[in-house]
Amino acid sequence: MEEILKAITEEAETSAMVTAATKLADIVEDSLSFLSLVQGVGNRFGVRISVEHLQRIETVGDLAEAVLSARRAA
Amino acid sequence: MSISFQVEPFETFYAAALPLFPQHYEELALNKNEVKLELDVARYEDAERNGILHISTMRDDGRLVGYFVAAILRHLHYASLICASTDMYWIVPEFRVHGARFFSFILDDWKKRGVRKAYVSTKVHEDKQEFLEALGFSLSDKMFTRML
Repeated sequence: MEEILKAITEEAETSAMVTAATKLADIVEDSLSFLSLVQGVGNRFGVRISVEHLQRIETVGDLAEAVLSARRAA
Repeated sequence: MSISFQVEPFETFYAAALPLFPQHYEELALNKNEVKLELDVARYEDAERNGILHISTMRDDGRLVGYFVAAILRHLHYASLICASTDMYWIVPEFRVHGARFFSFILDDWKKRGVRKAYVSTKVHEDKQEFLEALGFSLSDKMFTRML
């Protein structure tokens, strides 16, 4: 989880304190950068997060869990 | 802030959307001097009765902040293909950061209803091509319009 949180912070290029509870909407500029962040983090861990799954990704923790879930399924 | 996505009937959508339509119209409508904003409520209600109308909404603590109105029906010349076609969509600017999650919900719901092909348009002067492509859409048509 720590590794994924670090990756999210780097991909978002934010200096804000990022925790699992941080809302992604607070660390990205718009919906396109939201998509870039999700894709970038997925790429780092070799997984693809489906479009259908995006609706459930509200927080950093949700994104980390989506990555872990995709890795388990791979 | 608590964002929710749902499908809702025309009646509740329309009541909540009325205050938003002027800003939507101002931002996206063309030929404003000739084409006035004038929803044909009876036809929307008729489309809903016929199972064609599909309205997805984004609400923040219950307040309407975005909507996607679509028609779901069999394609006229590919009769086995169920399609969802854009009527209109708009999100209050400060909530557009949730747009990808909203579209994810919409596409997922359409799929559950048997939709196999989604037709989503975007205005040339507010082009959302990059966003739509990131969601897996491909540019397939160009539409030209003119007043007669």
